[in-house]
Amino acid sequence: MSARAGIREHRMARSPWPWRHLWLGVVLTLACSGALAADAARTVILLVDSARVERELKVLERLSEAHRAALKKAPNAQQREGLDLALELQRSEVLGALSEVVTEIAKARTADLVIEPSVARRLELGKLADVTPEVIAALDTRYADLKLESLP
Amino acid sequence: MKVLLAFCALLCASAASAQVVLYVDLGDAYTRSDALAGLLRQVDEELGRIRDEYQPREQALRADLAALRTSRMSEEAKQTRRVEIARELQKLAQAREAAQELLAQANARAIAQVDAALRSIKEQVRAEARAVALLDAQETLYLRRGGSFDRTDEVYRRLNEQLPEVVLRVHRRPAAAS
Repeated sequence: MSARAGIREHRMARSPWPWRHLWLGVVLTLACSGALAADAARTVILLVDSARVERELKVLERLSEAHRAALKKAPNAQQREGLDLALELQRSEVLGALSEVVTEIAKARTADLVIEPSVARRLELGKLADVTPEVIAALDTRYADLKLESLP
Repeated sequence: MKVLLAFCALLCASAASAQVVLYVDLGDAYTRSDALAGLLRQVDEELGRIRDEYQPREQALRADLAALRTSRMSEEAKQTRRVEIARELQKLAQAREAAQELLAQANARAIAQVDAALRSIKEQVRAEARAVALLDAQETLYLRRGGSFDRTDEVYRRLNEQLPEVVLRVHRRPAAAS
C-alpha cells in the first residue's frame, strides 16, 4: 500500500460510518431527485383503441343479436325499418358515450393525453398503458340494461 | 459499490429519456388568431360585395319577368323578352359563381399562409421543449387542458406575433355581365 493510500484508509477508518460514504449519498440523492423530476415532466399518455371498443362491446353484440331476432319476427317493411333505425340510434348512443368514459378514466388516472395506438406507433412512443379493456368494461356496465326498442 | 453505481446510472438514464409529448387545441383558431379572425371579416365583406354587385340586377330582371304577365306586349314579344331575361339571369348566376370561386381560392391561399406559419411555430415550440411531438387535439381522444403540456396559448401568442394579419387577394376577372 502506498503512503497516500495508507493515509486515506486511516482517515476513513477514523470517520463514523455515514460520513465515510457521504459522497455516495449525495450522488444517490441527486440521481433519485433527477429521476423523480424527469418523471414529473413526463407526459402521462394512455391508449384507447376505439375500433377494438366497437368490436368488443358486449352491449353492441347483444343489441345486434336482438335486432336479428326481431327482424325474423317483423311482418312488414315498416317494422323492419323501425328496428334498423332503433339499432342505429342505440349504437350511436353507446358509442357517443365513449368520449365521456375516456375522459372519466383519463381524469381518474391523471393522464395528460389519451390517443389511439396508431398515433402512438406513428410517434414511436414505445410501451404505453392501454386502457381499452377498462373503457369496454365501463361502457358495458353503463349500458347493461339497454334493450332494443323498436321505433314506431 | 458497483451495484449502487449501476443503480445511479440507471436512474440518470431514465431521467434523460423522459418522454414529453406536447399538444395544442386549435379549435378556436378563427377567434384566437388575429390573422384568421381578420380573414373571416375580409371574406364576409367580399361576399357582401359580390351580393351587392349581382343582386340588384337579378332582382330587376325578376321584376321584369313578373311584369311581363300583365304587359300589353304581343305574346311573341313577351316570349322573346322571357328568353332574353332567362339568358341574362343565367349569365349573372355564372358570373356570381365565378366570383365566389375566386373568393374561395383567395381564402384557401390565405389559410395556407396561416397553416405554414402554424406548422413552423409548432415545430419551434416542440424543438425548444425537446419534446417527442406536438400533437393536435384532433389526433387525441382526450387532453388535459391547461396542463404543462398544453401549449395552445403559447402557439396562439406566437402566431399573433409572427403573423398578425393575412390579406385576402382576390384575382378578379373583368365582369362577365353588364
